[in-house]
Amino acid sequence: MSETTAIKKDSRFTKVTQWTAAFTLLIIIVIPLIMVIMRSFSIDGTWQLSAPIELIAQSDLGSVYVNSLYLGLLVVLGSTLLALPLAFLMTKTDFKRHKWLDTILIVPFMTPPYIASMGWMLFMQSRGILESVFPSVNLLQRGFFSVYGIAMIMSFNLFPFLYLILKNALLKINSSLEEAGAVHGGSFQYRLKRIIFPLMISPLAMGALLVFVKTISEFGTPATLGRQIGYYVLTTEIYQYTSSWPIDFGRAAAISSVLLVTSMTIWFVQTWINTRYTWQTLGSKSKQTKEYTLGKWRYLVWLYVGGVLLLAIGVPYFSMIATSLMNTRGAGLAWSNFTFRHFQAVLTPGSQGYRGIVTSIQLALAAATLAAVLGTFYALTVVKSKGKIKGFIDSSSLISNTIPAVVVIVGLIFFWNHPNNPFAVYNTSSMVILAYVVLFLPFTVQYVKSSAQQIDNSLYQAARVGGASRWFIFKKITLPLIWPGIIAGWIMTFIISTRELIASLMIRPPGMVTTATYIFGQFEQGNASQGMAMALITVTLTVVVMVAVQRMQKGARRFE
Amino acid sequence: MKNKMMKKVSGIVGLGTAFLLISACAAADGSDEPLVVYSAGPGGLAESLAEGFTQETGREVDLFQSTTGSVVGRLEAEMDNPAADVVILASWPSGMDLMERELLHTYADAENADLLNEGWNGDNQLFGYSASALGITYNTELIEQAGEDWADYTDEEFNGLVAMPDPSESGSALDFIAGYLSDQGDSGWALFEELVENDLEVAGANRPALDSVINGANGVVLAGVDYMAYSVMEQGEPIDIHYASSGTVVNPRPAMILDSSERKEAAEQFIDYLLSDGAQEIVADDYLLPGRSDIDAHPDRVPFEDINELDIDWEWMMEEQENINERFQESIR
Amino acid sequence: MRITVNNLSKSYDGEKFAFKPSSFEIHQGEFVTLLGPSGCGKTTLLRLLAGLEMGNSGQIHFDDRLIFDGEVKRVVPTEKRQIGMVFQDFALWPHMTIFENVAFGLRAQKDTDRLAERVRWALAKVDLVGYDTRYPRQLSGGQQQRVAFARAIVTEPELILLDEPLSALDALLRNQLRVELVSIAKELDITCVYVTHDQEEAMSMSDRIFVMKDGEILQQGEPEILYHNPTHPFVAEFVGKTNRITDPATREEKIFRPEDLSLEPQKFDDLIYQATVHHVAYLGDRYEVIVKYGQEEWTVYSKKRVNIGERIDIHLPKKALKLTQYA
Repeated sequence: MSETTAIKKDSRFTKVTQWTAAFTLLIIIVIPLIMVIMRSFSIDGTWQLSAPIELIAQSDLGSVYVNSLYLGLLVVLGSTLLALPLAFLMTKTDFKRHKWLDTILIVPFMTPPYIASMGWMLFMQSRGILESVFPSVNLLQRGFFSVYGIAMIMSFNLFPFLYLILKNALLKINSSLEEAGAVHGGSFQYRLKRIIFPLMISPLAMGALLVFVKTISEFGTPATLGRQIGYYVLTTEIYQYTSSWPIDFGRAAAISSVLLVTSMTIWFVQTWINTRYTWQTLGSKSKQTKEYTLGKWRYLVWLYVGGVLLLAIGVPYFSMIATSLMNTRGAGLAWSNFTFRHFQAVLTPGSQGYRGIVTSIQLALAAATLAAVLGTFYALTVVKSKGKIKGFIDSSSLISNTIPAVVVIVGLIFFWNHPNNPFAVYNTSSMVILAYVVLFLPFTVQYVKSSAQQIDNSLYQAARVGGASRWFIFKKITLPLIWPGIIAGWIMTFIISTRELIASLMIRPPGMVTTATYIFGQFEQGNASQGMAMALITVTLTVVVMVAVQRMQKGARRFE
Repeated sequence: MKNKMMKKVSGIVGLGTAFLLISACAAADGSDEPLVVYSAGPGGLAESLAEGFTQETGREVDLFQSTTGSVVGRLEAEMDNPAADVVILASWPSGMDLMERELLHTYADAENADLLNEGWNGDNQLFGYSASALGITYNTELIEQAGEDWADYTDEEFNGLVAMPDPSESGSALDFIAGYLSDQGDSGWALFEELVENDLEVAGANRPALDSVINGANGVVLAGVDYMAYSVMEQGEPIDIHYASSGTVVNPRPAMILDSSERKEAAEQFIDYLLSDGAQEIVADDYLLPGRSDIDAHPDRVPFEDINELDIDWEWMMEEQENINERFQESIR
Repeated sequence: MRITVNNLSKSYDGEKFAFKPSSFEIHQGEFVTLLGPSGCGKTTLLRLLAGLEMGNSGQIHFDDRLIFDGEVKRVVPTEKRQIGMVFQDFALWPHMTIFENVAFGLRAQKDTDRLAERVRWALAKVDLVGYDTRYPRQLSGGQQQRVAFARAIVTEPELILLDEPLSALDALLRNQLRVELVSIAKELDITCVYVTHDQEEAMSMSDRIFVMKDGEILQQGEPEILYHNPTHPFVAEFVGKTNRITDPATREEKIFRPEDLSLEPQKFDDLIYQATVHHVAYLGDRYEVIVKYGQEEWTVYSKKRVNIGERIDIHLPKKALKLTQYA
């Protein structure tokens, strides 16, 4: 009898893990978001259901809302125009052998929008870089310094994302579907119209909605170019009302709620379309896709692809590099005006820029590690749970993927800066780390969850039969098998944290400088050249981390 | 079964989280911790002053440096959990507003306070340790003949060339508008309306406005802070500045101690430092007007005595600034 | 190891039994097969023995060691039962080498004396010398199953549980591995409990077979007894091919095996039926003939070809006709 133990139906520890997960998520994300919504329903401490509507009607927020939506539409249009032809070329024509294009398209996507738009502004403004090369381009400037300029920059940032979705959808259209069309007498245009296009509607709609949500959630470009030309959107208004005199938290909460409801609605529509209109034929990725030969058209295609790359990467990066190397900006592009002093200024130990880099790396290391631990814990709990609590942990650990970062940050401020909050976390660097973790948790959760779901139960059972304790199994089997997911989540969190703008701006404690606040501050009030030098250093850091990790993984890859 | 094994992990994670939170709390008191200073105004100056203070007293400074709008905004946002000890603003009325709300500490024994320019000591709560005057800054390559006075820029020849800092971000720009209205009465609005009609660009804080003139996007900035213009002139940019003939606002920049500060002694030391010879020299070197009447301004700039001031009522400006800002924002949107 | 099971049962929802209360004994060194269609409870019983499922009632003893007691709700957890197990999908850990896969149990129990030697011994037993440093994905299906078997025997357990271990392999490999599995088990004198739905596999490997259906053990016994003396129509049907006939007088259903039938007379008192040839299949050594007699379809073996539609006489010795007992 002595070696037996009591049978427990649902282990107590399962419950403990589940409740721990649910409780921590409640604190770090759910309650802050609820506080945003509650705050938007109160005027001067009294409850009013109509409060958000009144607040919006009162001021000119209606027009700001329209601005956000209009920008969203323009960016959807712009990124579709860029992504759709490219996706078609890279899946259905002999142009697809240029695989390097897929790699290079990561560059605009990984360039933080605020940096890209600063590059563009420095390029396009009067007596900017473009004008110092072609002195008579005033017409372009009028067009650029408008909502269309903002839309263009954001389209160039977001189109690779849409491109990936469309490309995968096109790859899944089996060549036999098209061949059957041809055999039954359909011409190329007819097949495009009757077979490919209808099958593409659902992925296109989904991609477009995601681009729309990303656009109305975006802060960087509206905060740089938008603010200069007086084009205000929801995100910049929230920032304005929470950080600059005169402060109005009630209004910030109201706008946040509007933004939250809008983006959640679009997400639900997106999910609905996904379940309703995803055709069975798109079930598996097929290697057999029909390939068209471009022939003489390829000159036109090269012109198009070259143009896209020039505008998406060439212009902003050329502008950033040029600005960072200019001695005085009034003197323009000339060898006599060349200097490294801005890089020196940023990299001198003890300088503000240097402190910014060190701080950002430290914050990102802490945030990525904490997010990896928490994300792995949540992902494993979700995989091993059932019922309502599983749904709660799953959706709340992924929610910051669905709603704009600025709304999450407003919630965090409400919660941690609340007079009754006993923890003195607000205004410390822990607060910034916590914000990064909350914002980027979904990366680790998603990556780890998908690797954990692929582990068959029998792998654990075999280990138990072999006499292994739970800890031994975790160490020897679970951890190694989900490790790639943890690493992927860690890298993603690290990279994005090193240049995160909105959370850093809104909740950094006094005395803290991060790379993003440095760049933003230099661009607004300081020396744009030093800002651009820092931007280039940040981007280089990203590349170095990605390459280093790839090397490490290649060295360590033993199994697939 | 895997659940059970996860209990250990969850325990570790839970402990870790708790530890993080606790360690964050633990840093709440202690006398050697840094002095927290929120400062508007030129980044370089705020930093050198902070460094100077650290050298003199050995105490570290945590500096939040931004625009007056952001500093006041941050103070308001943190009203429930105040973090700052010393606040430095670029706008005298903004400081008066904090004084009015009884948020400030009175420091009667500030060293050298008696040497401050007349009116630059606000009840021993606001110390105008420096000042800026609001000038007309223009690009010498684009503007051959700069207008003498504010009203000249409503002329057709300056259409589309004139910029002004945004008063919701730049405390000094708001002070100019309020000061001008205080001098001219309600009819003063005509100037701004006509400027807006003449395609006035309202662009961010002082720096972006000046930047747009340096790079030629605009030809002239009205009511930009003068020290910034002097400093880019020194760097060789094609810029010049003069002061409006009808008068302008000379805006003392107040430093103050928050009453909520738990480090008042250190904060008082900081005020003493700001009014010391050394700090005043640093102020002068950055082209600002020194707060003390016995310290000379930078030789390359126009001294305080030579600037024609508008006849302004600070009290009225303080009370009206929010309304004025609102009306101005409406007129430009 | 001797397994004694007393009144063991398992129900997931408290109503429907996945395994109905049963008692049985498996002897030291015996090779027992749990045979039945999917959903019959054979895997449930195996997992009860492994401790991967908890029973609702009854006791399990391994020799004199109490492993499970449903009355006082106590159990020896899987990892302490000191058994081996082979899974249907092999369940090899993809991130470990073959050596590490096999060594896992020894390391888990901190039994690392002469570790390499013992791992090599187990790999040699399954004929996989020299494969230690490879990863599972580099091996064929048959090799992977051998690794899984080596992993089960390396700790020298007294009991190995096998859950349809050959079902993922092709026919040729399956036949070959059957022989190897049994011979290693016999050589090491390990008690084996083997789950399968393949009656041929069960017949060829087992000392005893438990035929299961709907969570119940219908009949247990040597393969020959099950074949010749099924006590349940399901057992008769599942083990070997059966023909059936209803006695017109008593309305009793009787069964007989195809090989009992003949196209030539066998004994003087043969029963003779006239039937129509419905289908003929050539099997190489003989013909399999499906004939129709009234409503019944019977299988008959023949040395010579007959033609479809032909009416033929079929001879059946009286002794071969068996009454099935209804449960």
